[in-house]
Amino acid sequence: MLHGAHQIKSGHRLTIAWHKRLRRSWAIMAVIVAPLLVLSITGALAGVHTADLLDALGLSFSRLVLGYAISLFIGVGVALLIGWSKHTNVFLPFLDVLQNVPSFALIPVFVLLLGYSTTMIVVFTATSVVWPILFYTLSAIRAAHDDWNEAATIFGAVGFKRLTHYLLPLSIPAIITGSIVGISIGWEAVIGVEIIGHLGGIGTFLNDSKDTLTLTVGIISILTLVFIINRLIWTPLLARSTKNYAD
Amino acid sequence: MQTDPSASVSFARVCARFNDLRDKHKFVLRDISFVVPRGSFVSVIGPSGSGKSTLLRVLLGLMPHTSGEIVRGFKRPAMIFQNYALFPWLTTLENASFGPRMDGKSKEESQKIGKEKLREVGLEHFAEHYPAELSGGQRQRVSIARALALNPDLLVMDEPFSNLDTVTAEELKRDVLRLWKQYNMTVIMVNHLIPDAVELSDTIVVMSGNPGEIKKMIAVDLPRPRDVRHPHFFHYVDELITELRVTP
Repeated sequence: MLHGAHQIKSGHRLTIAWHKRLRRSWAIMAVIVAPLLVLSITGALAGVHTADLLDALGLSFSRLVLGYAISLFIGVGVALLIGWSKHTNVFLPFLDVLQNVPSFALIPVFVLLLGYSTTMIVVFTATSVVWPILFYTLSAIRAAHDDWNEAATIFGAVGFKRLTHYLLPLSIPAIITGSIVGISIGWEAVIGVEIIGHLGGIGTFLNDSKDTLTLTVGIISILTLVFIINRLIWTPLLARSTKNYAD
Repeated sequence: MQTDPSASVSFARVCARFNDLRDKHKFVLRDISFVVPRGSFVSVIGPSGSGKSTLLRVLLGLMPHTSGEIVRGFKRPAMIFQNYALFPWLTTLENASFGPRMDGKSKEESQKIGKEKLREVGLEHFAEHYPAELSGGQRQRVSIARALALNPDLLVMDEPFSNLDTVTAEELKRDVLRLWKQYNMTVIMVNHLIPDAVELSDTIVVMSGNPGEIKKMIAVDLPRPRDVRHPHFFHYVDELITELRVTP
């Protein structure tokens, strides 16, 4: 009897889990399909080839992702090393000065070094995206409760283990927030250089638009991609970090 | 200073000052000298600002002392904090397993130890919960489990019952006494509740403030388990209240 009740209970649980998964799949489909549908309709109305538009958007996005990956690695790495060091305050003024150098002022330098190329766009994007990631991460480390720092030390998170088992997990919400801010700056960098250098991508697409409708479709395509990424990546990550990092 | 094998900790004329420029000439601790015998339960009481918590931090090497000598006869210290200091991004089990994991044990082995310690404090069913999902008493129990997972020979507690309601604090006190005996460890507890200090301690160190100095050391010579309604118990409470009242 009890065994039967247990079977019914676990069966019920499985059904609930299946329904949840189904609802989630529908939500993901809706988040992707609905904006793409809007984009296709407006594209058709403007006489834009969807394939050309998606090619341009894909190219810019791949440059942004590469730039972001580099800046994530460098920004988080440097912030962790500085936060780990006992001389954090020595590094901060230098970083602050470097951060305040206007990114676009560096374009001629990058062109001289790398020419107008995809590498140049990726490197330039990385130098723009890295700062919010670095500073948000560093702020999280510096703002950590004294009790946490002491507990980490007493319970053995010293040396390299302090980086991997304490400072890195401590910084995750800040890394997510820094990434969201950084990527918005990264879009500006990628599109800006694509317009200046005429290197393909959505920037060049927008620059070459012959009419307002095509320009509007180009902008809608960027907003669509930003919306999809936000709903599929950043919103769940933020929700998770809010739940797991509540003090 | 000679090493006394029966001592878990020995302080000899220990002084400490603040590090920041504004207060760098101000002593937080001055001429602190006392010995904590191995396996004993010592409470440190005193007014706010008398350097009680600083004393613990200096003892554990979390803060430097400026002069004097500390002989540390312990090998595996652990600490319980007033605000629990649990890592909010780790589950209850991960928090309890943190020490063994840092000690180089495998994840499986650490979690086995963590589970065992959670069972000892009655929280085995909350292993997958995050600290934010627990009550204050439950969080302090996780904090105790995390400390026990190191199999400590010295347990340092910084006002462990201050943030808890009376019923929970009473339960935890009983658990702390049980675990103290079970683990045969030395306990040093900073506390501001005089009856708790009398109920739990072998020795009570009374500190005075500005700068933090030892005013008196009182050996509590009452049989265990202690009867908190016994006249002798009140005698100790009265003595401590009198000492703290005349503290400048």
